[in-house]
Amino acid sequence: MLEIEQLSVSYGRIQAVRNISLKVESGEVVTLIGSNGAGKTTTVHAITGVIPAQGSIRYEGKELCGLSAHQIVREGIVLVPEGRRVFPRLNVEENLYMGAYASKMGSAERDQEMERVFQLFPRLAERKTQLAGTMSGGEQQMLAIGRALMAKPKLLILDEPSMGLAPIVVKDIFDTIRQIKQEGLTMLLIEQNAMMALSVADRGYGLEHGEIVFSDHVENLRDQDVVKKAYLGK
Amino acid sequence: MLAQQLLNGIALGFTYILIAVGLTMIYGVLKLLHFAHGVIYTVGAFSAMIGILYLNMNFIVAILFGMIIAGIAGVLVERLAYRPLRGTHPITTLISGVGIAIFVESLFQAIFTSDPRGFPATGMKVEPIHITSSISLTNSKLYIIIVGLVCLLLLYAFLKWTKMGVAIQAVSQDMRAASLMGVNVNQVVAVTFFIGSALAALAGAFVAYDFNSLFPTMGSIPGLKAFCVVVLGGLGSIPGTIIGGLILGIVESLSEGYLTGMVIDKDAIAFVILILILLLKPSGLFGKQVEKV
Repeated sequence: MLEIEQLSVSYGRIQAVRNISLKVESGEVVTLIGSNGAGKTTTVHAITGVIPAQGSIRYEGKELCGLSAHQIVREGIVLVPEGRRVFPRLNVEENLYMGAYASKMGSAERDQEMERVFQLFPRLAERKTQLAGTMSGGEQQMLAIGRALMAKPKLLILDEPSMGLAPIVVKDIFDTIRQIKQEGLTMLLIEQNAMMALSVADRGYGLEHGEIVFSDHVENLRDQDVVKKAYLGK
Repeated sequence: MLAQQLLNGIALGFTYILIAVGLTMIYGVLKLLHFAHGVIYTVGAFSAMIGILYLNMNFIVAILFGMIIAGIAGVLVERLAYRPLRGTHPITTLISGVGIAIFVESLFQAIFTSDPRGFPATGMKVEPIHITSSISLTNSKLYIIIVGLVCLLLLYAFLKWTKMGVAIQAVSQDMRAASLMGVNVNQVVAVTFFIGSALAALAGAFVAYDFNSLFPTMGSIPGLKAFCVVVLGGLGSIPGTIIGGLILGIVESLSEGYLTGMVIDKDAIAFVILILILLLKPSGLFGKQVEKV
């Protein structure tokens, strides 16, 4: 579905991501784990067209490198950005409405989609008219995921959904991600919290200093010493 | 006397609001101080005049024509003077805006000379309407208030209930997140410039009609005052701009009525307010935390 080959991204003279290759097959959940500054978010920004990159990002046979962010959304790749980035002075409904901006849904279909999001996150349904900026971090994360789902993505990319959230809230969010996975949505999950990430993903890649250092099925990764030491704290 | 001055002040306030609301929206989406907004107001007034004189338009059609031409001019200013500089230091775009303003003013002086000219006759005479024996308002000022109110209501409905309107709000709040939702930011910026410019043109044409006078530099003082209004209300806040515009209009009007023979000119009041607000509450009445430029 998504095939990244020899992807490099530079900020001025500093190369943040070096020649990485990565694949996401239809229906699977792939995680990209790595510590702070490893290049995870840079990779995501390259895929979603936020920053320019060299190399090849092919999605269902189509080259995405060179397209801008708003065009890539129309291809069906939607990002839940790091730090949530909900629209603080729009209410919950308006935020979700913005999520459907690129889709050609009619208003009936859009309302149906919104209902689905409210079923997935009953907390949001209780707060339809609340301004997003006044909600808690966990609620904002739910809203950010809900907003992305409104676009009916074929590939959902989640950038650090656990960031800055209390462990109990992280567990909630990951339960929802698991639920979305069961519905068959393809996902690329970027995480620092490797334990959580490996618990939902099918395959994982490790990123260090801008390079892929390992990749395997999660069952194998959980047993590997290098992963245990670096990420799982065992 | 007081009621009379308040009424005049409200009419004047609506003129400022129509100019300033575009500035505040543009600041919202691009975080840009649009210093060529005053000349857009001039473009609107002159286009309306040309519509009446050479294209046989009636008053209302000519105003709409002026709004459209000014809207296009605003979009072009963004395209040519601001977009190529996006991502550079804010001062660079600011200077670019000032440059455009000087260019357009000089162009107009070359074409129309710098002498003031009258607003062409349209059968719409400016005449006073007597509300009570001591309070009266010219019909042109009444129109400004009515048209201003209608425009603000339409703008509110547009921003609240249309897809593009919500997108403008979204871009103002988080440009990157909006583009990640599939919003074409350049398109949103163009629409914002068009609307803001059309509203400024509306004010320009009505003021030209009300005072029966047009000249190439007519937009520079209103443009600067609109800045004061926007800073007073809080950059990027539309409700703040409305309150700020009314405050400035009423204060100017009252000072004209009560403080005759002042040391400073009435036009200076806006800048006194600007200095005070920057000293006392730099974020403005309704502004968020000030960002360092």
